[in-house]
Amino acid sequence: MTLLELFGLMRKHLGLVIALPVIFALATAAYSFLVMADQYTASTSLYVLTKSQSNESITNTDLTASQMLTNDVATLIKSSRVQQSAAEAVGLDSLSGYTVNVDSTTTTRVITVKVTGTSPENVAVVANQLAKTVDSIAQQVMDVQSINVIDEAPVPSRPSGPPRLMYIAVAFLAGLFIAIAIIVIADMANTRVRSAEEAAELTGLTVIGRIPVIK
Amino acid sequence: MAKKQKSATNLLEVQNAAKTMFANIRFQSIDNEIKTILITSSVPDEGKTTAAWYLAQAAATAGHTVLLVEGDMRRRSLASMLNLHPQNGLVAVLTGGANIRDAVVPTTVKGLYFLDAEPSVPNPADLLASKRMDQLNDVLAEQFDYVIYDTPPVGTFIDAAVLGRVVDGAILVVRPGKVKRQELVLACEQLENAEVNVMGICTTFVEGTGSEYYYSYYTKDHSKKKGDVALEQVPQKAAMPSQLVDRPSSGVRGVGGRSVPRGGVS
Repeated sequence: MTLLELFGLMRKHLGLVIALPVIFALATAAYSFLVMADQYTASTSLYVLTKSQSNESITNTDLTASQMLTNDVATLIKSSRVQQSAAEAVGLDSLSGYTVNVDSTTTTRVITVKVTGTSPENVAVVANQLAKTVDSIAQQVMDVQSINVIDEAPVPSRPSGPPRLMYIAVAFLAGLFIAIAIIVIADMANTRVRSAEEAAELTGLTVIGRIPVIK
Repeated sequence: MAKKQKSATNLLEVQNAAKTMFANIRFQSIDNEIKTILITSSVPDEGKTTAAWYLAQAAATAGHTVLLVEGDMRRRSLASMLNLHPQNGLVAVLTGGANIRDAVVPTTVKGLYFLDAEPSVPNPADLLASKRMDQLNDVLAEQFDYVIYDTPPVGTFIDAAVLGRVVDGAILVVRPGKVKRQELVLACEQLENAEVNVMGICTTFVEGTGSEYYYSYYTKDHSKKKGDVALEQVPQKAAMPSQLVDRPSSGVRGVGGRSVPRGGVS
């Protein structure tokens, strides 16, 4: 099938090609606006720095060591012990309703903790608690006082999600894809003669007349 | 088959298409003269009768004498379409019950005549295979410039293949979206097996291509009627060109009104 034939088919079934993506998009819009709750994200930044000797300026060794430590702390935040302790500290059974994202780039010593959930107040509390908990647990397990909070997580004023427009766009494209798939499969399954050219090809005869639809 | 009862608003386009088809047949007629033409299809309701009618009309308006023969004794549709109900038909002529001049009736189109078939003929295929049919075809070909047979679908009945051996050429009507590929191939094979000279394919129910140009070209001095064009008016409108051409058509042998040429089978 050539591209031109595909466009011809799409034009023939223009209704389906338009209706299906629109229906998909509308259904997704209805679902995402009516059913899906707003999500809020609170984010806090931590700075990890450890000094081998106090009262001295920071040495290159300190920075390198801290950088490695940063990765440890980032992993530690995701550990179930930290998460469980933080949950208990704020009076929750677990953090199952929250999504915790930990970002740390390899060349810096900054960790960003993002907590996403449905309540703006709670996500800020959870984010801050996670920062505190990881500090205390790091002291226990690594025996170093190294974690400093740069930004306390503020209570988010605007929802961060869900990405409704993206969902709608994806649904629209999915509808378009399905519509085209239906058309192409239906055309392939069609055992009838489609055009004069096909009839000529099948029979080896020439087309000597084309009587139009009598309207 | 008879989609004709609807009002025709693109009549000019249809007539133009039929004229193109007629011209194509005449191009093939240069080496072997084609006078008797058979119209068939693979399956029912592909538009055979409509194609036959417009082709006959195109030939008649070009100044030829044309006989349209109802060769579909299984399901006759021309008589009701043309609103002509002659006393005698093809079977009467074949069995000697009537001669040609009694059976052939003129239509509203000048130069276009009609030979009906009787209802409920018991064995059409045998009748069409008879020597008398062969002779009748020769006689009709002598007396008319063109003889056009409307026949049953070749995929359903053998009639068209039987009659196809006698005629000069056959046209296979194909309605895209209706006939299955397999059915078309089988129908074509059937005609080839019977050694029918299939001149080509005529597609029907085609979404008009180039019609916009045709209309824009044509409607400069002819305003297209949007209203209902009754069936009775159709042939009169179609007859206009031949009336304008003030020239006796070639091969007319005393044709006028009901005075169809003499002769007949035995």
